[in-house]
Amino acid sequence: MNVSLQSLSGSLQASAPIAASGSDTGWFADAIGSAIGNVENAQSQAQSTASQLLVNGNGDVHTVALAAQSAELSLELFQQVRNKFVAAYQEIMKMPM
Amino acid sequence: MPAPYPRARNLPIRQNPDVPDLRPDQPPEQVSDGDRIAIGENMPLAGGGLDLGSYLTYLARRQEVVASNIANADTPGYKTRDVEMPGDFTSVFAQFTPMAAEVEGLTTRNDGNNVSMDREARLLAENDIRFNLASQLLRSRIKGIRSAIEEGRSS
Amino acid sequence: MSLFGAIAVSASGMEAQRIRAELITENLANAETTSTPGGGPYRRKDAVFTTAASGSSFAGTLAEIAAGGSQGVAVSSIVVDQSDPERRYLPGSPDADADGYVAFPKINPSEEMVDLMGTYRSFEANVAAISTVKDMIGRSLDLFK
Repeated sequence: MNVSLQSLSGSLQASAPIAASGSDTGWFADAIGSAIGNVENAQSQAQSTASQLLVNGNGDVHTVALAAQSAELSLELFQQVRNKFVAAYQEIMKMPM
Repeated sequence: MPAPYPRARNLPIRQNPDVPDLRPDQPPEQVSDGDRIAIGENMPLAGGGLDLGSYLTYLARRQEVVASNIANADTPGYKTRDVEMPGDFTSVFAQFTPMAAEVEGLTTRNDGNNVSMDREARLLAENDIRFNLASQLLRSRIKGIRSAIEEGRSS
Repeated sequence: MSLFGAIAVSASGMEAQRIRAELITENLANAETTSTPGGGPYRRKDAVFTTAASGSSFAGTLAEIAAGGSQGVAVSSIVVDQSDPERRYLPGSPDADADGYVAFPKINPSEEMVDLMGTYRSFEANVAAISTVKDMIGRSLDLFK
């Protein structure tokens, strides 16, 4: 279990500009989609290591702890990035045309 | 003497993330490792690029074997065991199963037992201290990442 | 096996040493016992230790045990000394045989005491192992904070 920002950000390299409105949102949606997928993976891995330990007695406490922290941080990072994008989008929409 | 682990790389943080690559119809290029924002790796006292999680697992397995050795210190014919270290921990282990192996170089007593209580007591303390150190490093790394994420939260 | 298995292993070590200590104190108490209900003098008892998988709810998979993860200790049998007892010439004693010899247990108290000290040291080592492993599990739990 490697906890680092590098591994967390994964495909959240979508720090590129917000796509223009309309039909050109393909890659952005994909990026967000796979980021959500990463977060879901992290959550499910945390759950599976936890149930392995509690139900079967396999595994270590520290592995479960790291998986849980990783999932939590992954979600937090995703939320922060999403908030930023939403804020930037709203800024753009406020611009007078 | 080579450093035991790679130095934290001084990676450039992208100055203007929204200036280059204005290609909304294409996904961003897969950037090389050198371009990625790697705040976690650059943090001081974060343990560099070590896979601390696997190191903790290795220490836990090792301590289990030490406990077995201590419990069997008077068992006739029992041979001291240890866990092999799977290389250095500079790269991430996806999956590693530590295997226990017999230890060389210990004197065997008349009943065939070669457990040295001094060695086991020493290892017991060492593994505890190392586990403490590694878990503390991990905690500070996690804390650092969390604050790095939250510092972007503007009012 | 996780660290919890190590606790079970050390507990099995404590149990085995405790049994051994009991036998040693029994030997010491009966060092001069010349007649027992079963007939004959007291015979020295000893415990035979063998490596055994220590059961615990966290013992892990069978494959892991086979790989040598969890190896506790158990007393497989208690061996009674079958050699000839020591004979001392005490013609007046009620236990004396036709020639005036009394059969005494073949127990050397000094040896038994040394064994007892060794047992105590091993017992304490197992206790220390449990304490250390508990400490490590505690630190793992700190990672949640």
